[in-house]
Amino acid sequence: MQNKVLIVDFGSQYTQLIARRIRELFIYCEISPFNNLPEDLNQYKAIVLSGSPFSVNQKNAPEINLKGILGNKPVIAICYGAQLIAKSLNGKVENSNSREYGRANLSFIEKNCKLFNNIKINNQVWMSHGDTITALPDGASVIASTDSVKNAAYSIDSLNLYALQFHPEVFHTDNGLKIFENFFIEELKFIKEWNPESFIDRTVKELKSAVLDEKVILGLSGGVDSSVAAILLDRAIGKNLHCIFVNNGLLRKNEYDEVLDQYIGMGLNVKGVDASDQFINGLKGVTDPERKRKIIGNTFIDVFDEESKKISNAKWLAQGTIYPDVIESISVKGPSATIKSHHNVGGLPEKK
Amino acid sequence: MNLKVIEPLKMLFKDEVRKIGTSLKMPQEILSRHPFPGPGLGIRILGEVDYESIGLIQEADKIYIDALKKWNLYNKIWQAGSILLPVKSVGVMGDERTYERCVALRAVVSTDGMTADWYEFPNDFLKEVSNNIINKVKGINRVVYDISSKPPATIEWE
Repeated sequence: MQNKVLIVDFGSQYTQLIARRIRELFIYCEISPFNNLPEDLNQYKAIVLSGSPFSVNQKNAPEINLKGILGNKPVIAICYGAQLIAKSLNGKVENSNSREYGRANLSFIEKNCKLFNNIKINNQVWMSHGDTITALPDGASVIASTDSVKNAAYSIDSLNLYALQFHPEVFHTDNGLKIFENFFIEELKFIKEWNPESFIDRTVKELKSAVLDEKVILGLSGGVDSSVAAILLDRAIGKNLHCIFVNNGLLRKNEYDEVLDQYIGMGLNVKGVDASDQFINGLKGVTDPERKRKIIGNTFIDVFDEESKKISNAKWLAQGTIYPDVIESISVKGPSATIKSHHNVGGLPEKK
Repeated sequence: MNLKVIEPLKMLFKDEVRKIGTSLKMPQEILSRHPFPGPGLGIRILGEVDYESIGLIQEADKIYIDALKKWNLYNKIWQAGSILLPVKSVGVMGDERTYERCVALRAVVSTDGMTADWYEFPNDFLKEVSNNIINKVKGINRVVYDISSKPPATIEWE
């Protein structure tokens, strides 16, 4: 699929928002951490460089091989991305007095700039930077300024590059989506093809060809993710999908029966397993929250394992993992510090 | 067991998962359900978990969630639940002194679960829920509302 965007993540808190905005335009995009980029960049039609908590002047500041990208692919670089390009092409980035946090307004917009088509002077943008681009990179020209930051956006036409100091992906930037639309749809002619129907068609086909006639086990939790995953698999492989719905005795009132009925009503091949006593007995006398979580998680694995063994010749375990979980586990900083030991009953937690 | 893992939704955001579900004609009841922690009521009962406390919190929680739906508030809230606190307090019902458990109600708005703000309920809603829980759930004589945002608090108590 040539019609997709790669977002290079330098660790910005807003990276996921960039992806969401682009997908709102019905364009498919993927996020990759800067230190683990896909080998084949040709599969992407355009590239976005994200912001970062780092300064480009810091030791060990994140870097990528820009030569492989600039000039080969259209690029939109945001905040840190814009500074990184400036620095690498003989511009200058300094920690200056003209830093900005929060709202600012564009006091200048280059009239002929396609990126800002239909964006008006005074458009509010969201700034969040300590460093400022004090000298533009080679071949660049300013396309937008605020009162305190002259180089709020620049372009290098020969490289098909736009660089923004502000964050178009953030809600507080007015018309941020329009800026992305101007770039991806108007200028690069991306096709709007990322929608539920196309996703379902493609995924059902992929599941069919991956699983063939083998059996798949899936743990249903009653939640949205595992339920949607089950229905997709059901479409693809029907009765070869074996769902297990465990009652841990810790569900809401009547929820086990009601949800099980709903699953059966949707035509799923589902088995309900009431293991309440096993869970509650295991919790006897335990008051520490982390221990409770671990006991519940481990009991779940035991029950799920036991049930899975009864499904002979199962080859696959399906899980309702969603993108934020994936991003979290591959993110620049690695999995973020655990606030609580989460476990996902829809999938299979790690045994601890 | 040696199973190969398959994750059909691994490139989707939560709101996209819901859109796919709608497109697959799944019941809205499932698609709009609030997130619920894997350990379930096990971490909404602070302290020791037993059948008695599970019964108490299930009854109180049902009153709360039913009221949210009745008042058309359920879909405005990211996540709501009741927490059974490990304390007892004194109350008076009729001419009798009571010494019973306390329930905390939690309701937050959020777009991603990473940050969350407590929801500002109409007073009449809180009044109705509190009255119903205390009158109908024997063993609970006090209801409080959690007004902490995340951060610095978390959505769940444990």
